[in-house]
Amino acid sequence: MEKEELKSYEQRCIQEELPFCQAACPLKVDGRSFCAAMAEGRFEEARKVLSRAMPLPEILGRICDHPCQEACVMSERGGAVALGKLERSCLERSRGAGTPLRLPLTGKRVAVFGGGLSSLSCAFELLKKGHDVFLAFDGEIPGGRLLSIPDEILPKEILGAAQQTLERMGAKRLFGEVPEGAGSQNWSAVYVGVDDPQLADHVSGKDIDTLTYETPSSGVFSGGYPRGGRASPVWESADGKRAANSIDRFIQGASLTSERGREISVETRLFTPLEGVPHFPPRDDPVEEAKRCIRCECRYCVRECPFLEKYKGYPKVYAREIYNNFSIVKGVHQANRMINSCALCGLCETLCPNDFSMADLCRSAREEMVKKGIMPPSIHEFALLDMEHANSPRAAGSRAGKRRTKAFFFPGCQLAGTMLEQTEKLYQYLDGVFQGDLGIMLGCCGAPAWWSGRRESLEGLIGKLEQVLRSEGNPPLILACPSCNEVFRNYLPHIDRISVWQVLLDKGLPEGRPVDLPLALHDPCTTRREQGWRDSVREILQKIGQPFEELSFGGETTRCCGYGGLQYMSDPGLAVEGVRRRLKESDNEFLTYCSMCRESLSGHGKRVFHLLDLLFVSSPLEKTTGFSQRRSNRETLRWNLLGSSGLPPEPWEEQRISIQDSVRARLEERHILESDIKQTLWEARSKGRFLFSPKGTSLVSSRIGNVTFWVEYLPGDGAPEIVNAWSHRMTLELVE
Amino acid sequence: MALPYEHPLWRSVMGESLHPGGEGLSRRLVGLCSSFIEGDRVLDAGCGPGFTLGLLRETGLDAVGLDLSSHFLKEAASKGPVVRGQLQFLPFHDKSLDGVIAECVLSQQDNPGEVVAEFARVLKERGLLAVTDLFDREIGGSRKGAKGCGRGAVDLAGIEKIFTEEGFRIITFEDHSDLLRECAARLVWAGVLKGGEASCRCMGYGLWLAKKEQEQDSR
Amino acid sequence: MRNRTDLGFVDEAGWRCGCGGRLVSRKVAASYLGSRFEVELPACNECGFILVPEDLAMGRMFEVEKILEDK
Repeated sequence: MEKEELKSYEQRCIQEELPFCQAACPLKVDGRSFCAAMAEGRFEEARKVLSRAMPLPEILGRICDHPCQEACVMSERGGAVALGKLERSCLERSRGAGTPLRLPLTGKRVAVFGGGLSSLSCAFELLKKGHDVFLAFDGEIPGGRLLSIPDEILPKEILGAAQQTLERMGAKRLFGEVPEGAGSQNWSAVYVGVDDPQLADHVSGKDIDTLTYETPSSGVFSGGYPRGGRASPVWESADGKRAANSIDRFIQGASLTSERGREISVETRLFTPLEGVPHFPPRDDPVEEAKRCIRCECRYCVRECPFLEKYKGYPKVYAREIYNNFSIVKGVHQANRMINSCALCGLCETLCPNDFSMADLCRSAREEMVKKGIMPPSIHEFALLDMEHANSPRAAGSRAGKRRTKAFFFPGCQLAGTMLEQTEKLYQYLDGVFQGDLGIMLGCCGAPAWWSGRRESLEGLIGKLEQVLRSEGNPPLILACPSCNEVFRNYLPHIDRISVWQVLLDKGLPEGRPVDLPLALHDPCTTRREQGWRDSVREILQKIGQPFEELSFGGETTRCCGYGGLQYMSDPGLAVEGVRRRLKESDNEFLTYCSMCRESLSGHGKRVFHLLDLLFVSSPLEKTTGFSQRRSNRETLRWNLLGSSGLPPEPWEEQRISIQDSVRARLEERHILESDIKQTLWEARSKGRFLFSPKGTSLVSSRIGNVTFWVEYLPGDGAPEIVNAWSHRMTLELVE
Repeated sequence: MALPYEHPLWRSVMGESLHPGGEGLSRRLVGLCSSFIEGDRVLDAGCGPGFTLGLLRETGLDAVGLDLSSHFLKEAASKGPVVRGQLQFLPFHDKSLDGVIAECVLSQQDNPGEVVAEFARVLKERGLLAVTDLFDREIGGSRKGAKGCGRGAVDLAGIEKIFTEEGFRIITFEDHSDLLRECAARLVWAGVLKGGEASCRCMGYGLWLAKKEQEQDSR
Repeated sequence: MRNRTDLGFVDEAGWRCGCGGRLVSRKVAASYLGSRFEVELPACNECGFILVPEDLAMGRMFEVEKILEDK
């Protein structure tokens, strides 16, 4: 992954953008942390948050015109959080730290004119930076316009105390007029606060640079001018602080403008989803009011995805981790598991205001892992072997239409595997509708190769399909599986694709067999961008009179069933969590139109119908089909539709075995196929190697591919009964 | 809490060296210290049972081993002179040593900087510090409160910062994280660690040679 | 099968080899991706058939395979 690619991913994720209150504040006060501390009654801590941004919070916190409040999104949920009131409460209940530390003294003399908030703020900041500050104002105590604020709001003692603080920090009193230029009285710089009524006309607002606070006079800076025609305390303070920054840079001879955009910008790209946030009017008690703050952040995608949640980060962080993963030369690649656990379902991209796609990121990361030879060999192997089987002569093949091929029906390997009967009926129905001019292609579209980053393998496979299609003049593909559709959309763009549902609508639906209950409709994640598919399915449901329920996360925002991206291989727990969350979304039973969604969602307490069940056969599977049955179904389908492949059967295929349900469940979990068991039994028998135990069971073992299988069984007159099976990848030899 | 390398089986898995990379990596480390000459005074800080101490003495260095565990020291005493002490308070005069070897000790400290500062104190100017140790793969990660090995492990930038702050200049770095993976696998195999506990899986293992810079007038 | 932490397995199920030999504890090398690990496993004293118990295969072997694969 190149650095530019990383940057382009990172900048899409807005999780680290400022919350709205902070962005709107000219001083960038962290309203979020402030409310967090206030909500726990930690007033000193809250005051510290203010002090980080505000010079002299004891003044500003009491009189602030709080643009933060205007920006607060809680205004859409009952009312903006009353930050102004909270700041006041905070100041009343806390003492604050002592005199702030100063940097080492610079010996540079700066004159600050005016007693208003901008001058006091400027003086404060300059003193902190170690400069020698001389403050000039009229009267006993400073304040300017602030002196006319009623005592209940801003007691005069506070202003007096602020003066004392500045003096303790080394400020000296100055008397005299504002000089023409700084150099004329040997000042390193001069600040003029026009928020002091006495100096209001000294510099015209339009002569003050909005970024640097420079005025036309050399070395003279100014700020504190009205905003929007009114005096704004927070802007006055901000002006003073920023001008101090400019003065500091000016004195050091550094650029006044570089990297100062952030200080001023009020834009934030943050997006905070408000779904589920209850309406609450503002509360009187400050701690209760602070609790109303929802700690704005995005994490929209994280909230809705168990995978993003599991790794405790958010997309920007993940992009960086993945980038770092590839910069490791030797050593453990920590992000491997994370990269392989994404279901590639695209929900995050849809929710993200900037379309951050974890799917794109993870898929290309997997390709890179494969290219670099660091993809763990076992992680996707089982799924890839399954794909190989689906494309092997026993399970795959094609036939052109009778007279010509108006279209090829491509049911896909999972439909063929899990719904043998329905697939055959569907094919026969379509064949009738096309009057025999329908071709059929059985095999796998290559989705497992695509998802596991094995691009070369995918391209080889696609090449073969292309040949078959070309030989019949590139007719359109009729697809039943939306995952096949996604693969072909990307890798066979020149071939037209049409969903089997659209064909049924166009050419005539068979008689539907709706169920009485309303069914929750689960859109497969690969229909996210295929409105056409989703619409035709709904039209069919309406036509056959099947009541159905739309899920809140359906259509474009549908959730993944856990099968996608081979998530069930790399993190089966995560896939199950996805299923759980999905099924919880409705009390009804479920309905879908992808055979893998159906398989994935089944077996967790709800019945899951497939649309074909409502059109051709009406009894939904109570259990899942399982890996072994899928393979034999594909072979049966091939035989039924295309005849024998010509290959002799494997010698062990005829062996009958008996497996109890509980044992079958364990084999399924361990990815041990019936054919593996049969092969192991047969090979052990021919080699004569087995163990036997007093309780009557036998134990055999065989190496098939990269895996050694062990099978324990009860031999008998009839079919051996399989009691247990396990496997490992390590190879063993005696050490003599 | 017992340290992982105090597990009764640790020795049988990791060998006498006790640390990832074992004796092979110790030999490599000593071999890379080409600036030493015969008779140089070198400290094996955290010498354990003394394998590296023995190696150093074999090459003709005036090496001494230091450890806190009398149990280990008894064994190390057969390899060379040993002294019992703490890394934070090394019983040596300022600028008295030509070299310090520290294999897998810094990552076991709550405050590794403190120990590196001691190393800097006892080393002569241009003295050599040779370290092999765990480092955190997570950029900016914090292992505060982590159990087991590597509670003091920091990320690469953090390590460099500690060295530079104490006046060292890094002249060599090698990444030997694959040895760590081997090591983790063996420990899990032996039942010393459970798969999920092997925190070393998310760490790297590095080798550093650093020279103590000539002192300039302090700021 | 009970496992002890001295890297050996004791055969309690009483397996016997089909060739007629007895299973005794023997030193075995388990290899994967270039790494070699030693363990004592029950193996036939006649034909050398090595038994890999379920506990070991699904437990530590599996964990170590995962560690070694994460290159």
